Amino acid sequence: MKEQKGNNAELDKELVLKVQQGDKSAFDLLVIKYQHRIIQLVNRYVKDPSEAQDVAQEAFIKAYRALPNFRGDSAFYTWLYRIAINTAKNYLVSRSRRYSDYQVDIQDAEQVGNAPELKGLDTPEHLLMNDEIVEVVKDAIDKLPEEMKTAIMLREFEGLSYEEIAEAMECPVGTVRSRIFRAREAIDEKLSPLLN
Amino acid sequence: MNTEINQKISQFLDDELTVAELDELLVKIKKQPDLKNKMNRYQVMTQVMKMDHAVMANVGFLDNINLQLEREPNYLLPVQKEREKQKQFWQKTSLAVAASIACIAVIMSQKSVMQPNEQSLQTVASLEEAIEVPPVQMVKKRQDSQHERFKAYLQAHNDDLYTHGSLNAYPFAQVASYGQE
Repeated sequence: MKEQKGNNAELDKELVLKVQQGDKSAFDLLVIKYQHRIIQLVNRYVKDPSEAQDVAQEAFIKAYRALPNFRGDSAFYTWLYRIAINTAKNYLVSRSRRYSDYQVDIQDAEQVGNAPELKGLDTPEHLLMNDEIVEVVKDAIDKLPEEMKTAIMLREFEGLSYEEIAEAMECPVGTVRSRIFRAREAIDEKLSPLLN
Repeated sequence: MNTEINQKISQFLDDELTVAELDELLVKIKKQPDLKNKMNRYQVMTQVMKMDHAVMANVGFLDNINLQLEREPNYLLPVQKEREKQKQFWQKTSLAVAASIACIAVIMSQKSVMQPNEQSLQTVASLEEAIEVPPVQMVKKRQDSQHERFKAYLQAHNDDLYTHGSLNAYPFAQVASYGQE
């Protein structure tokens, strides 16, 4: 899986700078961008999904408090990742629980989502909802026109940048941008009634 | 219009946004908080496509974070910023007030020098009254007496007394010349 990191770090840096200057909405963007990954990460330590959500929230709050001292020596997500792990561990210690001693490495931050043990940890309601969402998304993808499907698959599965996708599909970058967006809109049309 | 913003959200999640576009997106999100829900749904899609499993944040995940941060104003960055601003404002205000007071003090002191007040004017008038200016005749009399004194002095020290021998005393030069004869 190939990940484009250059622009990511730059945008995060810009958002962090804005938060440090007092722009709260920039922090909201960072939360929305990373909330799912952080919840997933915390879920590896804290098995209860609702507790995991609380711990993830606490991790974001801690990050916000510490942001004035964040110098940008490491990428924002790596920094946030460390905070989340420490928060989860502290939470378990405070609750005197034993947690699985996963050797979660900083370099593995992007791979956290592939942990198979995440499945089956949710409550029946969560699982049902989860299955429904997965089904709706897959169905919507299947119904996408071929060029849109290819563009979104290359982006989400392969992690290619717009430029690389444009090269692969032999079309301008603007077209790729538009195709990916239209694919998302088509899926969102089916997904939003379920999530709202 | 929303289509354009939604596309920017899509690009943001793919890290394909420029810094200028990011600023624009931030402004739009401030105006339309609903866009955060859109962003959230896009994220759920990504999760499902990447791992066949939807990791969803609770409804109000972000709101809860914001609420907790608001309950702890000491840690809220904008509040710190506000404090800093207030501190700067008070510093500037106090400087401005101090400068104004100094200016007023200088102006007042200059005015008091240039335009003496009533009390000082009265004092000067009373002094002038107390010291009467001598009339012209008195001045002339005084001058005459001075002249007489000068005259007496000059007469007392006049060389003619010696030269005419009226005092039976001769100047040293004359005695010497007689001796030679």
